[in-house]
Amino acid sequence: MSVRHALLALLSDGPKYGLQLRHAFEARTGEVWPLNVGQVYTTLQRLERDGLVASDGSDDGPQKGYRITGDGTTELTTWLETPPEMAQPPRDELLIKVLVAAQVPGVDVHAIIQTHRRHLIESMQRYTSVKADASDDDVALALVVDAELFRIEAMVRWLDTAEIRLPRLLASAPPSPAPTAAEEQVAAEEVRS
Amino acid sequence: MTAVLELRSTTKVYGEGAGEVHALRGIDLAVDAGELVAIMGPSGSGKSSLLTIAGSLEHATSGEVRIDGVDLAGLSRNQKAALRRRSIGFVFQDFNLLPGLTAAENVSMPLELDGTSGRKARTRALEVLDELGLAERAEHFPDDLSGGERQRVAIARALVGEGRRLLLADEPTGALDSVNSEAVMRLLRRVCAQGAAGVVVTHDAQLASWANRVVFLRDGRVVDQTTPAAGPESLLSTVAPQPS
Amino acid sequence: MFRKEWRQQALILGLVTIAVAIAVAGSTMAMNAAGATQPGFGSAGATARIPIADPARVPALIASAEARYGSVEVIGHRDTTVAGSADRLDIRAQDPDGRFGHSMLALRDGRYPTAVGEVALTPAVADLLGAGIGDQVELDRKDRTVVGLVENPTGLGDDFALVAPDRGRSATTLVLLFERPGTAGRSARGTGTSDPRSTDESGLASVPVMIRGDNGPVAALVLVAVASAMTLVGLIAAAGFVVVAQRRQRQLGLLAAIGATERHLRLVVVANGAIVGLVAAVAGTGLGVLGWALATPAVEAAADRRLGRFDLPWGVVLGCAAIAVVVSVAAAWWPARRMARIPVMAALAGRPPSPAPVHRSLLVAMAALVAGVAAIATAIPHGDDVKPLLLIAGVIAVAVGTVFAAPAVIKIGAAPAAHLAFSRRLALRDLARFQSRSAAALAAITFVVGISVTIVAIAGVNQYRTDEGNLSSRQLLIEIAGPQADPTADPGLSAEQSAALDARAAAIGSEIEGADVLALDVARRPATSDPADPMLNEPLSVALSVGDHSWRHLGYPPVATPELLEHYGIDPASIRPGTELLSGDHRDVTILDISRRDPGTTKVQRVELPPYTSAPRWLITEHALHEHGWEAVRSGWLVDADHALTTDEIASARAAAADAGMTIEVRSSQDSLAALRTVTTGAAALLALAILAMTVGLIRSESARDLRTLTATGANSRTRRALTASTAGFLGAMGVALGTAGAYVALTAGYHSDLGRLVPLPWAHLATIAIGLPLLATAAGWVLAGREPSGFSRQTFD
Ligand SMILES: Nc1ncnc2c1ncn2[C@@H]1O[C@H](COP(=O)(O)OP(=O)(O)OP(=O)(O)O)[C@@H](O)[C@H]1O
Ligand SMILES: [Mg+2]
Repeated sequence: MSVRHALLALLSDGPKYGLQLRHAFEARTGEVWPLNVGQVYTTLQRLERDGLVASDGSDDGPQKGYRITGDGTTELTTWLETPPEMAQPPRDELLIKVLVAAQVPGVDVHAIIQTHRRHLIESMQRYTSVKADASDDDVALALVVDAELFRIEAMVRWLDTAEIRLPRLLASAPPSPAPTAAEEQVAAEEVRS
Repeated sequence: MTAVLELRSTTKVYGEGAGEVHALRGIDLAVDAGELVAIMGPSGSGKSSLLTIAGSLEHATSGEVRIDGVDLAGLSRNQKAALRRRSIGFVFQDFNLLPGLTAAENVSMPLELDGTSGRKARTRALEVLDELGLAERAEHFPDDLSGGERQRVAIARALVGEGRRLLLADEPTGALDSVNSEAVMRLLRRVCAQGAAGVVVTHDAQLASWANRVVFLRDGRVVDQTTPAAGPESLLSTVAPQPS
Repeated sequence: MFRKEWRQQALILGLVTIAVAIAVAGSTMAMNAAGATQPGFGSAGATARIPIADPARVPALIASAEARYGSVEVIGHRDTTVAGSADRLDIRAQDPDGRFGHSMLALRDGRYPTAVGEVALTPAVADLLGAGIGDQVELDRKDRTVVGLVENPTGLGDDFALVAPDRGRSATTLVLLFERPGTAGRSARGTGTSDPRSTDESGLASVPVMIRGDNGPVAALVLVAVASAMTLVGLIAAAGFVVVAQRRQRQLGLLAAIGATERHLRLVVVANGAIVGLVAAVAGTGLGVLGWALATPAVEAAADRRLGRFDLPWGVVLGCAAIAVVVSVAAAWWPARRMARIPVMAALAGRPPSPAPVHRSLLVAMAALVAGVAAIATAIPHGDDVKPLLLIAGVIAVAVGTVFAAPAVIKIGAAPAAHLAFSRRLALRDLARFQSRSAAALAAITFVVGISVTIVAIAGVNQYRTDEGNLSSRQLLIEIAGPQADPTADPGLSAEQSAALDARAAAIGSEIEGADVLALDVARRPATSDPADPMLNEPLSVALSVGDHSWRHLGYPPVATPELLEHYGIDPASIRPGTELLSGDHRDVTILDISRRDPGTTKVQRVELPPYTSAPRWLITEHALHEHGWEAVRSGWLVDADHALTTDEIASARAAAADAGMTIEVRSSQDSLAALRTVTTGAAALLALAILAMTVGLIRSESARDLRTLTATGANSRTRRALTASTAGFLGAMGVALGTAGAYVALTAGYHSDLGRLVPLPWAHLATIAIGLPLLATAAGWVLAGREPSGFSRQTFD
């Protein structure tokens, strides 16, 4: 979620002071996603420059009041309806690690997968305990945590599936050709040199 | 402090000869009071077997199973039944409630079986049901309850009475949606926090994450387990994405 | 689908098989018993017995009989003595293929005599004569060759020598067998003269015709028994299939979920019913026939007659088998229909169909009960004239009524469940929840109890009360001839013989304290009145007119001597002048005197005489004796003591009488009826237990999941036992209550004209059933249940 759109959303139900915006922002995203306080003011300046918000004109800082413009509302609506970026699989790194592990001889893929699974679930446990300790009416926090949990769970499930598929991959992969004597010799010479 | 549930090199073999199935091949596991442990593993890895053995419903082929330090092998059938009435609470995935009894009667069942007078047992049952937000459903029969309500009644029964030491749940949220599942897990977690030991078998990573500890089972063996969760502050250092 | 339920299927199969076997064997036995009611008739409807003084008259007699009665079978009896012995022997000339009498002859060995000079003997006669097949014997001063061994299958004690039929040419007594006059004989009658009696020179018109007793009631009872047995088969099968169908509910639900139509679902279950019915019919019939074959020797000995081992009422047997199949299919179809209609989701969840409203079935029950009672009451009006079909309809209606009352009874009985201890509460709730199957089980148990209570009660009705029976327990009857002896053959006693026997009888009487000895004389026409007609030697008998110059012989009335009158407290002055017969019988009886044109004009006066069948029930007045010139002949003595006779007294009297060539008769104990009650009580308990075992077994095994839940919650084997025991005990108790009530409703209807016969109630037996059955059921449930369920880690799909 971009800070830009978050601020636009906060302003959509009425004009606010910079300080107010900062507090609201913190409250909604919680401990999970603490952000640089300065970001709020710089982003607001940029929004004003682009004509998406209008200020009451007093000096920069916490006391300056902001309200959303017509362009700003349009921008917010467009953003809400735009599908999120899906181009890059977020588990890219995990995928590469598992695929590599399957190729490196002497590495137990299952152990690798299990290690990742354990890490993932441990982090899920942490998120869940945030949720467990939070008060029931902190819906925003619950939603944020849930989003993370579902995302990590998806990774766990991908690992589960990978674990079932991998033996097949290993079984069907052609054995990497044994190094020929010539190659070995070349290699040995390279080491010596 | 001794663990509430303790399994030592427990094995379980079903059948004989050619049809022999090694469901558990040497399990070591201890669950302390106040701890909720989740058991995960692929289908057929022995999760349910572990749970029924821990609950004294089946006996281990070899190894020890101790509840509050007492070896189950040394108990008679009747003693085991008494243990189940007083100390162990079971929640199964589906065959949980007796359809012929009302919710309140289902909950008071272990107490009545244990000889508590009907009225007293009922009062206790109503207390527990109230606590789980089911007070106005007490006189309904299970067939009239929703899946989530039924599961909550089953948990109420597993909790009723003093001195419940061990809560065992096998896929307790199988038929429930995620909100109801979460409610069930939240409940189990709360109960354990109050001093019982809990073991939950589940396929679902989200549910497992409600546990203090997750134990991974594979082919009848414990292959791994999570270390007790660190605080939330460590979240950013692991998988939390960076804000844009 | 069948494989998993083999246990249930086997149970149902077993019970239906047993029920069919019982129905087959029972109806065969009952049909055979029905045939036994009257030996001596063969298949004829009537018989006449004519003493022959002048053999030359025989052809005319037969011709006249044929004119009168149509087809007539002639059996000639010749009474002779055995050379060198005091024994008398009946030489019988009878056609083994005779139209009516063939059932009274059977060949044991060799062949039937066909020529003059050939003879066949019964085994006892062969022993007596020391002769075997091929030997020569001298009989009636003629040498004859023994060609075979024969017997009378309808009376194994009947001993005779059989010779080739000769149309009565050598007979001293002629027995004629023919259809009951007024039925089949009527057409043949038309060929004779318009009034045979007026032109009758043979004297046939004066010969009384004995009519075969009507065994309609027996046949009706057989039908009722078969119908009941079949209803039972149906109820048992229904009870079983209801449970199986419910067990299958989830599978059926699954089938429905994947697109099976109601027809498919019904087909699955109905096919199952048909298979079970067929197998049970075949196996049950086999078992029944086998049982009958094994039982025949014992039954023959008891009945004193030969019973065809494979002489089965095949129609009834095949009927039983067919009904078993039909009933099994119907029993499977009905629950299948219900099952197929419950919503798919309910079926998948294993939820029972919501119980039908009880008041509707209660209304049906009431209607059926009222109709049944009315039908039974009309079917058994005052007297013997039973209408069998109506009776069956009534019995079935009462049975249906009780069956429909079952759901209501369960609901009412289970109402206090909330206040009961845990396991009892659960048992009752489950029974009420699975209404159709527990109602079916209850109906089957109810029916068994109902049948047995009915049998026990009817046996009680038939058991003599103290003022009934052959004799009072204070009485002893000394008879000069044996009770079976033919009075026509009585040669009469000389004065000295008579005096000697009088002294003997007095001596026997004096052995018994406080006993009166009353001489009994029968009346007889003087031997000299017509030397050409020895039949006149027969004592005068009392008979009941059955219309059209036909009578049923009832007995030989003693002469009303002053001693007898005094003994029975009849004031001689109260006897109206001209009275010929004093009768203690409410029926319209008459003295049968063949010398009179119309024997029906006897002047009868009703008096109070105890209804004992062997003691005097009618008295011929001395006035009648004088009026007709009859003479009194001593026949025996009635010994009447002031106390019930002890076994010792009876034994010594019997010995003393035997010494003098006399026999005695005492009150018969009717042990067999008492035994019948006890056996019925036991059998009912066993059958009800078997049904209970099946249904309770099925009901409880059905709730295997519940057992697992219970066990997981900490129920021990005691709880599980208590659960099964309460289920069985409750069903047993309700079945007993409903069955007894139903039985007495039917009995009250049946005996409405004489309700007093139902009391005293057979308390001992009723109590045994009422307390014993539920207790046994509870105990059996307790003992058989309790096994710890297994397979906790596997989700079951049953
Ligand atoms: N009563 C039994 N008899 C024979 N084998 C059994 C029995 N119960 C379980 N098993 C076998 O033991 C193994 C472990 O079963 P278990 O039910 O414990 O697995 P699980 O981990 O609970 O699987 P799932 O996640 O599918 O429920 C399986 O191979 C199963 O087939
Ligand atoms: Mg399992």
